[in-house]
Amino acid sequence: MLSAKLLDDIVHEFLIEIFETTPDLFPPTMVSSEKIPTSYQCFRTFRRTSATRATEQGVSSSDIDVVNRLKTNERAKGKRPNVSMRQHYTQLDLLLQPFLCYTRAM
Amino acid sequence: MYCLDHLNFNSSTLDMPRIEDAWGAKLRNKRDFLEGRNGDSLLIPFECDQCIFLKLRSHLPNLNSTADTLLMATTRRLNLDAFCSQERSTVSANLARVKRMLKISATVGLDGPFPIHPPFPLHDHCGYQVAVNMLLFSRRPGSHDPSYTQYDTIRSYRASYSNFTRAASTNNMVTRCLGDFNGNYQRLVLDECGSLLFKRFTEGLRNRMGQIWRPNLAMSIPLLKSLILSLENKLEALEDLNEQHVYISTITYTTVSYAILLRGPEGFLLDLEGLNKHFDYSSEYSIIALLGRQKGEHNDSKHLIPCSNLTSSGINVRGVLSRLIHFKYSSNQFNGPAI
Repeated sequence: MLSAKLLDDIVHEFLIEIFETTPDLFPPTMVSSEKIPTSYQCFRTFRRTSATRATEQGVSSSDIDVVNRLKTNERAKGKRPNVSMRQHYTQLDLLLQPFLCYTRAM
Repeated sequence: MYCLDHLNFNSSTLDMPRIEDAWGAKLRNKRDFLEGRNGDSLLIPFECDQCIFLKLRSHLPNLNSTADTLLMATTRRLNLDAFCSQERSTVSANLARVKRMLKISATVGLDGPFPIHPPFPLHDHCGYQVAVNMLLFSRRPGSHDPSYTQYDTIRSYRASYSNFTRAASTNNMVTRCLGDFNGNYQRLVLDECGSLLFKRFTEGLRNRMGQIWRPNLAMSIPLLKSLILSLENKLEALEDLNEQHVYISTITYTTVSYAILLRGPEGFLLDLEGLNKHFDYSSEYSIIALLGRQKGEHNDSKHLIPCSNLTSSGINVRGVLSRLIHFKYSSNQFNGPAI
């Protein structure tokens, strides 16, 4: 099984290579490759990329909420998550379209 | 929108006095962190540096001793931090009200409703030692800045002390609690860090130190695709099976985390048995199987998440999953963690 550190190291190595050849792909605040390891980490970068893309593509907030429900349950720390009654009584494993809408937009 | 830092302005070359004048009272007064104000002791339970030193060390400070000098400086900082939890205007307005009340009391021959209270006890009754520890910890190099450690890191010392004191025998010989009709209890413990002074100290410390927040950045889609392409090119050139496994796993983790909005540890929950069971070549979508205990869950559980085979940005999720399953199959792996 891979470790998060190994994944980060591999991703950083390639991002630094990309920065040296095409720095335009990075935001203007990224003035040197030294900032890459602290700015991009597997822990949140891909999730943040996904959430940004969803907003940009105009995915509806109800679809985002359904895909995000895993996190809602996590935040509730074992208690009943604070979601609308409609969402509470929705059986997640029978839902298909919200997931497909979201992932198709990625 | 860019802040001055991003545009590489050199603040020393700017006309700082003019800018400070223009901002006026909107900018925090630098002296707030360096001096006490008349009336601070009406809002903060104040003891002077020497009294605190005497409590903690049971003797007067020897100013030739480095440890004593540092402790004196730290207790001074502690008091100043507690003071700067309150705005200068709040302190002066409160003082003015007290003076007015005394004046009014005097008109009817009274001394005023502010009696002289006895001194504080001779032991550390409000968490001075924990506060000293936090301040000294803040002087160490931090991960964001080599000159100090952030407030959000140093405040963990208070949590450690509170955990310790909650579990101590003295707090558990008799249980004092407030219970409601739903069966919820709030246990009451004796904890010096719950004192007013400690609360004011932490508020002031946070005001003084501020916060540097450097969240992980999102990638633009061209950058993400360029990263995946670079990883794919590297994978093609590899012959060693272990190295191939590392790169196949990295590409899968990246693709799946992006496609179904997963963060760090969740990507590692990808379950090979679930992937094998639900993988269907004729289906219009793929099922991503996660297995494990999420933070806050009590048991391991399965999460089956439908995912489009091809995303609008051109990322082939099915191809990535299929390659992982085949690679694992060729290594005689049919279950267990997929990454």
